Amino acid sequence: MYEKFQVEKKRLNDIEIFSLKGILDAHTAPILENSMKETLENGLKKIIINFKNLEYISSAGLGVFMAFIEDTRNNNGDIKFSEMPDKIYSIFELLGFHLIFDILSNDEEAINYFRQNKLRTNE
Amino acid sequence: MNERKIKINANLSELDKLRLAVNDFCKVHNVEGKIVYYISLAIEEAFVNLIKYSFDFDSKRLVYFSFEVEENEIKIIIEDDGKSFDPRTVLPIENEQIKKKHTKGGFGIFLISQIMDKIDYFPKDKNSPTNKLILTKILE
Repeated sequence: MYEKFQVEKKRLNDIEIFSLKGILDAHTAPILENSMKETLENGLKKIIINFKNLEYISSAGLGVFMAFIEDTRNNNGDIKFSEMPDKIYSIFELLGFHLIFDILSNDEEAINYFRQNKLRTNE
Repeated sequence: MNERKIKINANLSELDKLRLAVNDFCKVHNVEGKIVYYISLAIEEAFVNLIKYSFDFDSKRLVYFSFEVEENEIKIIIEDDGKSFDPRTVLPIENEQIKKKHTKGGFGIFLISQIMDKIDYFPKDKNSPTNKLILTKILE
């Protein structure tokens, strides 16, 4: 049985880590969108999305990241992904998202990227 | 059970019911997890397009889904009586467009074309009252 979608947020200095759980589809994507919007409105632009417990993502979920990526990168921030299951990675790869986002093995590695100021630009 | 049919309202809140039907059908036919994911994904993308473009978000309209297994393939037949729209006419998204972030949406049909093996479309006409989209996935 599929689980409903849940977002848990954890703040680490100027980084916000989102742990996603369950199903991220066209019906639940607004939950993530509102949650990310709230983080950006609070001035946090360094975001890590942990996919470990995410069972499913559709284009509506992917669209949420695309909606915020320019804003974060224009403000000295970025969105980085961690612990992505293979089946979800295959969708990111098909769309070429692996070329524009850092997809890292775990949150620690993503945090280190931010600490070392490894930020991508909008170019 | 080589065939299953369901009808659902054109409403995003029905996605759970749709996914559950796909899951149950695939379980009976021992379909591998990644393929189940791809089929669910293709069906969601097609359903969301129907809601937006064929029905203009009129959630009282109905969409009919049939799942069939034949030898080594699964066919999903999606029927609606909304505005006809052939998804095969949408141009593919180029990686360059995504890199430059010129595309914030419109990934749905592109994804269907990438994860399914065949897409057929028959618009409604005087002999057939419904549009018919047929998605085929070959089982390895």
